[in-house]
Amino acid sequence: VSGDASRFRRTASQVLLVQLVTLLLLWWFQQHFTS
Amino acid sequence: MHPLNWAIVITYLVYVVWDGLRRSKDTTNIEGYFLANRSLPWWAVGLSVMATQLSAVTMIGTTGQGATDGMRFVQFYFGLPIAMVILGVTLVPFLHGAKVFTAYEFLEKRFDAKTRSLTAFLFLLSRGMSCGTIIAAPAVVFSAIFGWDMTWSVALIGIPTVLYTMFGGVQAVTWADVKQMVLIVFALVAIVIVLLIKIPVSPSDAFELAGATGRLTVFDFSWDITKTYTFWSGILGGTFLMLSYFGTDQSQVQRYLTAKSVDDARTSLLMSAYWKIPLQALVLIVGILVWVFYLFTGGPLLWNPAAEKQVIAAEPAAYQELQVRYGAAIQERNQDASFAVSGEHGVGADRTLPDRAALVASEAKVNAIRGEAQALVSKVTGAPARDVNYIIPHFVLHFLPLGLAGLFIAGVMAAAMSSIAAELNSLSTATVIDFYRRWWRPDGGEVELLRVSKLSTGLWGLFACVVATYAANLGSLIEVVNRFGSFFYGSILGVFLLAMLPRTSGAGAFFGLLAGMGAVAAVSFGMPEVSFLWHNVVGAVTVLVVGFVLSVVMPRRPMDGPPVGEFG
Repeated sequence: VSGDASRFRRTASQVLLVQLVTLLLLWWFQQHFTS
Repeated sequence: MHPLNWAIVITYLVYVVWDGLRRSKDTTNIEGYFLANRSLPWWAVGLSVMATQLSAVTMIGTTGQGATDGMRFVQFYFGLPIAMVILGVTLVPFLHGAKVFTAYEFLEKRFDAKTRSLTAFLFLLSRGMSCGTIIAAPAVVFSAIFGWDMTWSVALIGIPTVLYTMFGGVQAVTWADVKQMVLIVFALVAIVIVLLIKIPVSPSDAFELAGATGRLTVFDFSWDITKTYTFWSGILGGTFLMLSYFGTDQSQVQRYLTAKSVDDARTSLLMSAYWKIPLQALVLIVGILVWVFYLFTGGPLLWNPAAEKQVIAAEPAAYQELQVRYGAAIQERNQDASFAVSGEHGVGADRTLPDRAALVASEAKVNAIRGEAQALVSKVTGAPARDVNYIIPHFVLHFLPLGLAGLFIAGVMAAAMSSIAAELNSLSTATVIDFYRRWWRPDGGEVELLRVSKLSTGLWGLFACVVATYAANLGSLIEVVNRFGSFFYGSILGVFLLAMLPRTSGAGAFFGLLAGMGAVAAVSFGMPEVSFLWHNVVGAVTVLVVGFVLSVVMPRRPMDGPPVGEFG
């Protein structure tokens, strides 16, 4: 169970990191083509 | 449409029904029928979660919204990854571990029977209605573009879905979802590739043009709570909406209750967290590229062919006059688009800037004439035009290569069917588990319950088809689906959050829920005016505050259970 919990924590951190990168990419996309 | 395209659509329909029906022989008890005996792998559940959420509205309405409004809608999903992580820590382990069939069943364990029954009833009410709108969305478009009667369009989507859901149960629903999700993504990627080939300018120039007209503006950081899509409404309102949808709506909860372990259940949700925003961006980019395509190709004054026919018959002179002005405006916009790309009229590094301003002005002129045409549609038909939902179907039917049009139409059907199937399956579960077995037949045998479950699925399917036939004029396709949920979602989430707090009671939860719904009703009717993404926040916070205060003030009854954390 604790292995599951630590795997979840790891995957969840990855998910949030990937989302942050996605938002930054969208921000770049907006700035690059709109300005 | 070409016979080959129809052959693809029919092959898809026959396959999905056959595949669902052959799974019916594996189902002998209600745990198998509703929860696949809690045996499914995370990736199948994850794809099912995504397919359930992605409906035909996404394929037709959201892509159309991308063409007219651009990327800003993607902000709606900013809260989803956060919500999935929160659910993975809180509700998912509990619900999965509690071995319940429905999320509402748990509320009886924690609070009392009336709270369970009320939340289950609200689910049946809102989802029963929204299931009808999910069928109606593509049916209304198919009716207009193929000239079919609405009843036939509803039947074409509804009957196959009811058949495989009714006989195959959740096994059929989940495995159909997996294939449908693959088909949907394939259709979206294919249409993007075709668009990039067909657009006469480079992808970079295409995005420059979209950017010049504001279509690539993703972020709106304003704190205006009357605005629907802002960064903050997405992050805060969106998180509450997604927590409510994925944490307390049986149509989603049931997906991950079928997972073989708690770990598989929450990994399935994280899969959605990974892919939802990029997928939604892809959907909107399809719309944006279609807009760029028509920038150079023209496109009709009205996208809805059925509405156009009616207007031509009723107001021929007025429409003709609009057509003439529209033709000139389109030509001007076409020229401005070419200049904006080539930078012919400017000088120096910013040489395209004057042409961009000209493009924005000519685009506004085209939109104004389109607005006049849509007002004419409303005058003639007595209903809003909703022309935006016909932009993508127009492109698909007129410009996609042979075979791909059939594939896209099958993809739209797949998107509709995957959502409808999950809804019917969960409506039947709540009906049988939270009402039939709870109140009428607590000692009903497996054979009887299985028979009633199948019958209930069929009856909900029939109800949804009837609602769909009459739901055509209920308002913008996207907003209607979200609005139905929004009315109750936040309040129900509030009850589940209350369940996690110590010292909260059944009476507090029940009356808190009523207060939350009252608050959402007030803001829905503009007292005060708050955009719909914030309704869930209003509902959840009202239930939490009122429920907690009442729990403290009112005497606690012995039957009120311990908080969530003390279970399992």
